[in-house]
Amino acid sequence: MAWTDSRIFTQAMFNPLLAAAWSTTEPTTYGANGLSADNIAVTLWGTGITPNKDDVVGNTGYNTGQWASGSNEIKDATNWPAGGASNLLAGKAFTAGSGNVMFDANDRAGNGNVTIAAAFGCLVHDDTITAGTVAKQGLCYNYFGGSQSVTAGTFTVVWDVTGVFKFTN
Amino acid sequence: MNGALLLDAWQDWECPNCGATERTRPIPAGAARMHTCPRLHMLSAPMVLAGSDCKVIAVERGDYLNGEQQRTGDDGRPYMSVITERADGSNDALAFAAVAVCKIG
Repeated sequence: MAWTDSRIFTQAMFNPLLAAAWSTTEPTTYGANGLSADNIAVTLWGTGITPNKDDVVGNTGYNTGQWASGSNEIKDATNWPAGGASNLLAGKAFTAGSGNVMFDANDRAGNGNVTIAAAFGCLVHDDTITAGTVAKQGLCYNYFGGSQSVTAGTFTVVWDVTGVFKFTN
Repeated sequence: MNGALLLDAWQDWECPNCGATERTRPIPAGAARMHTCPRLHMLSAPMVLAGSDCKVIAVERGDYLNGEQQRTGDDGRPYMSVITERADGSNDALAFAAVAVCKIG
């Protein structure tokens, strides 16, 4: 099946994103100020996986389930490193519009020139979460709509004008 | 007469598609000058250093849209990237990620 669309993980909506709707205990080390205080990382992935928005929580963290780094993560030792800890999102914002609430951030460039073959999408995860649900819990995955490659150049993920992820009604 | 030599550095930028030009102070490594290009369907596209042997192209989404919300050009087509291809075989890519949506109700 591979990639078909972009989704927020159901388990991420349940906890921590909508945890305040109930008496749900948030993941260990999830920031008191939510995503604004946490480190949100971005990693690139190939076509060997089939993202599942409804996967069990234990399979939604970075380096768990099908998000196991292995040969599926598209990475560079320096400029798109595995795990994305040095590719954190900056300029984060959480804003309300007409019938929607969106989480947005600055576009994410690598740290320099890379050679990347066949990146199909990215995983956005909370790098601050260490336990409680799953470490480095995935928030959402975003499909590029096809294969993306660069040779000895920069690779930048450009978020949609309506954000990284959003809730609409 | 003694005095300091004041150097005034700048960089010239251009778009190989629409011909837009710009002169700026040197920008940090890895940074890019962007503009909305009328010859690339009004997509946000990088400018290149003046005189660069390269082309900048927009790439349509390769897969079915499948209800996704992705960057769309003024021709109504979804685009998945803008690529700068240089004569030496290297290239840069701006990958347009679709937004992840939770629809309530």
